[in-house]
Amino acid sequence: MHPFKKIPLAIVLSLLTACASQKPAPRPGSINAKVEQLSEMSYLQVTDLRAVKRNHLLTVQAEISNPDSDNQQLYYRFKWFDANGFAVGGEEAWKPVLVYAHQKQTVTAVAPSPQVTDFRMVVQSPDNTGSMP
Amino acid sequence: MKLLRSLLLLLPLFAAYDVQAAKIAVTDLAYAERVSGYFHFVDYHNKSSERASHSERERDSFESSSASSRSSYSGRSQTDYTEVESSYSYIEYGELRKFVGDIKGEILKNGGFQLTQAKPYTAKGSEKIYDIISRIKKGAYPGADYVLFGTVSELDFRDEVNPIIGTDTLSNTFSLSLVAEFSLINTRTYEVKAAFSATGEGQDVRVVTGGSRVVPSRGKVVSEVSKSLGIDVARQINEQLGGGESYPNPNPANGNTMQEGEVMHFSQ
Repeated sequence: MHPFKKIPLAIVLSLLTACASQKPAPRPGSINAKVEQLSEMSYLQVTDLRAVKRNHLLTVQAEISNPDSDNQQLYYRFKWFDANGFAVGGEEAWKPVLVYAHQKQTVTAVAPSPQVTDFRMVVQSPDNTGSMP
Repeated sequence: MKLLRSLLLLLPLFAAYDVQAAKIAVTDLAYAERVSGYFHFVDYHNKSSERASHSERERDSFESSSASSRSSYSGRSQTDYTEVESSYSYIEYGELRKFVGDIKGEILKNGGFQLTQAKPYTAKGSEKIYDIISRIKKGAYPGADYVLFGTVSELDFRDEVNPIIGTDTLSNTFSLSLVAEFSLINTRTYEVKAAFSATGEGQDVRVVTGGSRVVPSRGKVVSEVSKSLGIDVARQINEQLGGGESYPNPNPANGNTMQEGEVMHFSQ
């Protein structure tokens, strides 16, 4: 192949790569703004997420759905932030949850301190190849 | 015409000077509290004495022998027992020498008034503490154009322990709320320029795990109550005298701040 013929192909390929790697920023107030996926989960989806302040502590509840016909393993943990965006408390341990086929599982977490005003739910599943929930 | 215009221009300055010159004295918060008590008095005396004596005599000879013995015992005991029980109740009047520092601070920050020091009420507590006109006449607020007279409506300490759902930890909340009524009184005409009730709240929340013990910080709670009361008082004075200008909120709520019990639902 002529070397000049390779240039447009390279440009197209690099553009495609750039488009693929830059996802649109999640909408504020959406589940995607609060859920961080370590790579993307194929089968599991966070279908409901809500937070309430009880006894001055932020309480978060998330619903994980498994539309697949096989049981799926999920690992999750929470990151907590104060009003200035600083992380509160140390890193939590990963918590395992088995979500059965075609079922939903609810997980709940309570902030470690009254200073917490924001959170991120970090999730990962061994089968991480699919698209965003 | 020119003179009139310059007078009109100067008018706001005079008005500003007048507002600047207004001096305000802030009283300590007067309170009345019913004090109830119960006493149970028991007096018991017991006095006893006893006396015993014993003698023996024995005589022995070749012809005869004799023996005699004698013993005596006497005892006396006296018991006095008195038991009195009663309950009592009275109303205690006084001034709370706390919580007004931040009110003064916020009024100074507002800049509308100058502050003068009020004389504390040190007389034996009676209902006269509420007779603010008599206190003004007696000269308890030297140099003041206005007196901010405050009385405690309610002072409520709470120590609550609630389980945190889904965990084995407890949330220990130590809180204090203070509600006080205020009147801003003109010391010459006794006109009430502003009247309102203000609230101060403070709390110390600790997360307790099984077996651990926490000691709440009373100082932190009292400080929070004083600060929030000061802000509420200054805000309401500003509302009632300041022509409805909005008082700057010291804790502007950002997007992440949630109120107690408020549910945030994240959409897909």
